[in-house]
Amino acid sequence: MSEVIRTGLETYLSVRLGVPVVVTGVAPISSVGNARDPWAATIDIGGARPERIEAVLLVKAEAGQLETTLGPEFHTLAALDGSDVPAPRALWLDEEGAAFGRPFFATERVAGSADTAPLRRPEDAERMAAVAVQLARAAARLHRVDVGPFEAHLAPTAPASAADAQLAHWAELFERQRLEPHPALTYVIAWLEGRRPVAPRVSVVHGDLRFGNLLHHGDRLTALLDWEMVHLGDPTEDLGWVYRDLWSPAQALPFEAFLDAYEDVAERAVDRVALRWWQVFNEVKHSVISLTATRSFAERTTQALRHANRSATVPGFVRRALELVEDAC
Amino acid sequence: MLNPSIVELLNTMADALRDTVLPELAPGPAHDQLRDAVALTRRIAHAVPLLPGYLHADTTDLARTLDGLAPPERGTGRAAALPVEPPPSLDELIRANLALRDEAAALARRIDLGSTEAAELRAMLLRMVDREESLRLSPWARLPRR
Repeated sequence: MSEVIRTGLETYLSVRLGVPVVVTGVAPISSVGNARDPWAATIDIGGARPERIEAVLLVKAEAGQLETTLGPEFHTLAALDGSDVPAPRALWLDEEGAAFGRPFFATERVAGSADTAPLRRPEDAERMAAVAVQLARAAARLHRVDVGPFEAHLAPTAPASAADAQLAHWAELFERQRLEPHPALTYVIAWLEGRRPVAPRVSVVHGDLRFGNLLHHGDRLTALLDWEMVHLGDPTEDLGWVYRDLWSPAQALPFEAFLDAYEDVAERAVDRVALRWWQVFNEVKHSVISLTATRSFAERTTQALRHANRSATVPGFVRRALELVEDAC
Repeated sequence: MLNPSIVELLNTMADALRDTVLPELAPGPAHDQLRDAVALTRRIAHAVPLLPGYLHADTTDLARTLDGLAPPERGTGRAAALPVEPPPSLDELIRANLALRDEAAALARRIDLGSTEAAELRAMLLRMVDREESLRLSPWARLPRR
């Protein structure tokens, strides 16, 4: 595969840029992501102004737990270029798979590691807390970005309809992807439908903002990654995702301290009732992602065995949602 | 053949693949697929003997709770109608369970979420979650030591 990518990319970029291009060092990057297969590549661009770019190619994965196109993600990164949000610089998008048979886009490689296991060692708690605070500030900066330039590639929404749009999207997906009745999820969705919050503003919402989807170097956060679920909506949605049990950095920084750091930069208080709604919503969202993975495996659109029993993760998410609902009753 | 049991067969097969094939595979997709197959085999081995008891308890709980929350307009209740004699096959239990789950989902859509009935339904849903988690089929659940 690496040779197919190397030769295909070399020809594609030479034609596109109109100068000789040499591609070397094509190699897969270890990743736990599912929607994109990341590859490293060194790209030497010839011509009057030669340039070497260390790039990451994000290749659209076969069907799995998420069905998203590359365009919104690529154009979001392009629109964030030059902002104070730490994100990789977008380079080229090939949505048709013209270069080597699979759609991809390329970004500049950013220094840092995506592996958060080292940060989770007790002796590294301070480092983890520092990265968590930077994550809170980065989220606040992202949520303050003017959404105007993003409306060309992300569906516009309004404060009163942002929650409704997301809930309708994931509820529809739930009905389409489930292989059997899930009365608990149906109950939680009914609870959400009766309590939709109004957004404090419309923001660029990362959609998968968490430890695991960022790069860190020492105690510095260098980039937010994995933008495949980006959309315009209620900024509180990201806050209801970032401290889920699966990836929470609470061991190093309590959630309230994270919210303090966020509020300092966002210059507004986070509505705790709305936050709970989004926490419940996000348990539904992750449940639907798991159900989608299992359906993909059952229908053989993917043969990745890690998807085979992903729907068995749903009870854990539903438990959390029911507990949050119970607290709110 | 009753011995070795299905559970023993699955576990020894997983051990054999882990010990003799996995180390021969270089890091990459084939290695990951086999690693995941071994893990999934162990989960199935854990769940198989629990499945009849799980389905029986879950189906009975669903039927009794729904009988209380939405009594049938005529005839016997759902619990009384469950197959008992001869002992139902797993397929029969699964069919009965899914039909009751469908009813529970329909009830969840129309119930007044502020009512005591809703609290009762929520309590049953939590019991269902408990039972399902005890199967430990989730790729993230910890299996007991053998």
